[in-house]
Amino acid sequence: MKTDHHVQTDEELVLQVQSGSHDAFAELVRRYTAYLYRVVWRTYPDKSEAEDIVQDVFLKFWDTPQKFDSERGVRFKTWISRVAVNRAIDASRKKKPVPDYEYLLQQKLEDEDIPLHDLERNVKKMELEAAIQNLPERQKLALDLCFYEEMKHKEAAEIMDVSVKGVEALLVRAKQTLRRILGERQEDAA
Amino acid sequence: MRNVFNEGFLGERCHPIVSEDLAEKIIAAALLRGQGQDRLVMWLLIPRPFLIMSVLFCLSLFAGMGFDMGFNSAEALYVSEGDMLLSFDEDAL
Repeated sequence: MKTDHHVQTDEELVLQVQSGSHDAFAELVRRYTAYLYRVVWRTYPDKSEAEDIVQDVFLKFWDTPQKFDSERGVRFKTWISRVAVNRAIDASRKKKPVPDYEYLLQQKLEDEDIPLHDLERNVKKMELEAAIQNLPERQKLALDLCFYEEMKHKEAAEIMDVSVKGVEALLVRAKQTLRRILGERQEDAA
Repeated sequence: MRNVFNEGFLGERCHPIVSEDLAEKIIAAALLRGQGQDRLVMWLLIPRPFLIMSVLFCLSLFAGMGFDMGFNSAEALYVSEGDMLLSFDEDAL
């Protein structure tokens, strides 16, 4: 049976939020909370602080939805990602976060039922996470958006406010830096 | 050295998982505070030098024109005859 259920686009929902619709706001929050949390956490790896940033970004949007102007041709997802990423970068500059890797591993263990005794694998994961966290800010962000959020280079470039070529250069440098960091660690361990 | 750009290895990175109730918390918080409430509070709290200077200017203008602004109560203005006499310098009398 054919249903007449029209899924509203983000921009349609934003127009409704600008007219004061709380339901439209709720729909946008449900669509993007998990995504924004991942992006913010990867920039500022602290659970409670990342949650606060996501909440603050959405509430600011609720207070002044007119700040998003769809006529500029920017998608809502790109716009709100840029706001959240900038907030996370500001927070990490003010206070260096202490990453809670254990929390990450626990989440992963619960989710994929990985045996607890797989210690070596977990150590490698923590090494990888630490190496990524040690990347320069913009290299890390490019990697997070393009690799882990599977964004197109163009979209990542809009969020980061750089050219597409700039994103590609950052990705190349991120890979080189990661190769060096992980290579050094392996040599130290040997 | 292992190839860190083997997708399998980079893909091993754990993904942070958001608390299930975060979205609902945000939605409830927005409902509680109402839209634009923050702006109203900010508008009231921000000091407005031009507004304050304009009010002071009007008050001084009225005072200069001799309007009773009501700042001086009748009681404060009242001086008894005795007080007036006592306040005179004896030599002058």
